[in-house]
Amino acid sequence: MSAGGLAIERLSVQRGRKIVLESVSLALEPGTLTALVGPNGAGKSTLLSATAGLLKHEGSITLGGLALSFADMGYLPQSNTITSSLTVLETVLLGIQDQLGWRVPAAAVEAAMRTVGMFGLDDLAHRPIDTLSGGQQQMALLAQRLVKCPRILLLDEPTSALDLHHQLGLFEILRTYANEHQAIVVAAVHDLSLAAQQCDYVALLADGKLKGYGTPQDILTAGAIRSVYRVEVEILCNSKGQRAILPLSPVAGQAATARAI
Amino acid sequence: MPFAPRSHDLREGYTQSETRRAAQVAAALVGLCLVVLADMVTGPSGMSLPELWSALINGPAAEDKTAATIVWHIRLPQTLMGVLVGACLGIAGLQMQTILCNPLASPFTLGFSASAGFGAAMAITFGHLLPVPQFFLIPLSAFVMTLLACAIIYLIAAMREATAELLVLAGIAVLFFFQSLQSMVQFLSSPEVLQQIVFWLFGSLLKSSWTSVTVTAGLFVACLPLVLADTWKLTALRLGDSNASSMGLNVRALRLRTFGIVAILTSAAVSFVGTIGFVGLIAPHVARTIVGEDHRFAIPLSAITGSTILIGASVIGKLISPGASIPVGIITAVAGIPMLVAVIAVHGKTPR
Repeated sequence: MSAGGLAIERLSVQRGRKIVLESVSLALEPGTLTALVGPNGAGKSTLLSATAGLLKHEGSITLGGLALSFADMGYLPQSNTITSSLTVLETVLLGIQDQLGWRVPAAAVEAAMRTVGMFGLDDLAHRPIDTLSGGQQQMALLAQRLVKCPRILLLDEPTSALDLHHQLGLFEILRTYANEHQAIVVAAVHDLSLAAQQCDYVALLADGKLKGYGTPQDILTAGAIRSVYRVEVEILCNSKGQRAILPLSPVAGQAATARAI
Repeated sequence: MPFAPRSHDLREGYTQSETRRAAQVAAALVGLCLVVLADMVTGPSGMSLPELWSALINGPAAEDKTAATIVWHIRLPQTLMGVLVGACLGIAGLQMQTILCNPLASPFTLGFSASAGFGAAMAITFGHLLPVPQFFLIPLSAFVMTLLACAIIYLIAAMREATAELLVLAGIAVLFFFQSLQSMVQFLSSPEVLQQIVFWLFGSLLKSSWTSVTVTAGLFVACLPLVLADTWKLTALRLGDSNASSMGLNVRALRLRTFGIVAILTSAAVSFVGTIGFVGLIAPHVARTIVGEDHRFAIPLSAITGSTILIGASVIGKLISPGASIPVGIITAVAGIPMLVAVIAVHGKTPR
């Protein structure tokens, strides 16, 4: 693999007696956008927070052959309610708080403003964040992660509160960011069509194990989705080669047994 | 400026808001000075500003013995103590509301008042058995008991993840524990001693002396750099635990460290003057409503507001009953509520 890549090797996480992540190995190249998909409880969030170094784990995680430091990392957990009345700009500034002292340097405000602008939040920059909608809060928090230009960006369901327009806008931002900064971006998403259309690679996770990693065409096949999600799907493809995954019906019968094994 | 780049305007906006908030803190400081002056000139024997001024510049050993005694031995220590206690409670309240993620938290939420009260009650009841003077033993005992309460909560919290919920739960348990112990001491003591205990619990600046001012000031000054060092981290904690820790912040360490500082500030405040409620609850709300949650501004303003409420209460107490000034602990709520209402009315939004 090329220099500067993120190598996750035999990553395992145990919670109590339950193994929530079992020997996951994954090599991610700089400048790529990867969708992390899988059913509820597959271990997507666990994989992201363990990679961020926030969970006790076994196995190694290296960036370009070196141990990972938090300075390289932008990790956004699943959104939760914010009850703070910090303004959007103040919130984003906190993303580079190690640069802030009693005085906030003009360069820091400039960087925060640029990032706020990237997300189209200029008009809301001086609004308290708790007066924003869920989707706007999510974008403000993402801006907080991006402002320090991390080499690795790990996002846990960043599109969960976004409308269609903003979902596409967000992936546009992520792709541009990955390209311009040669960053590694991983986003857990539930919408498989979105993953297929917007991401370079897909990592499919089920029951704490990695079921596959590769291009959307290779990974998101009707057969794989059927066995992992227990849903019959039809894969549609338009003239431009864009793919959409159309869910048809749940696979009957074997749901409970498949789960138990 | 229609042709200026947008981000320039917004940056200007941020700089302006910083300047505005610094000015608000400065204005509050001026306000505090005025209240302090008002407190210095009110009292049973009355005193005009010129008289106060000459007594102050002539020093404690002036020819005019009466004025010198009143100013230097009675009023100045009381006023300074009020300023210090208010500042301690204001900062402790703000930190407590931040680390517990709860707008209802105050320095006393986790049982620090009950433990201090128990310590004082013990010293008042059994102090004569020890060869230590009461004026020294009571605050010492209150201080030690508060730190003991803090240690118990700390130990419980350190065993687990130290979430806000766990701290509150442990704190409430400690609160009831020390409250019961205090009730037991009160039940066992004679009527005279009981009266002393109840009076201590009221919280009054009349107990101030230069010794108490020095000790409290020392503790306050010692805690201040620790408080200010975490300014940005505490601001980040306002966005919630998961968000703060995902930014690489060690939330557990920050919470326990801040909790320890709150314990010291609170016990410094209550050990000498007794429990004074409300200040630590309301001052942070006032501060946040005016300057927002950026702790660079909220910490100083909360301290200044705490002092202002306390000294304001002292002035009101002296005006209501000039002979025996009503303990500030009783007045603070009376003085604080109009202030809160005023702030809410002016800013037109609920403080958080």
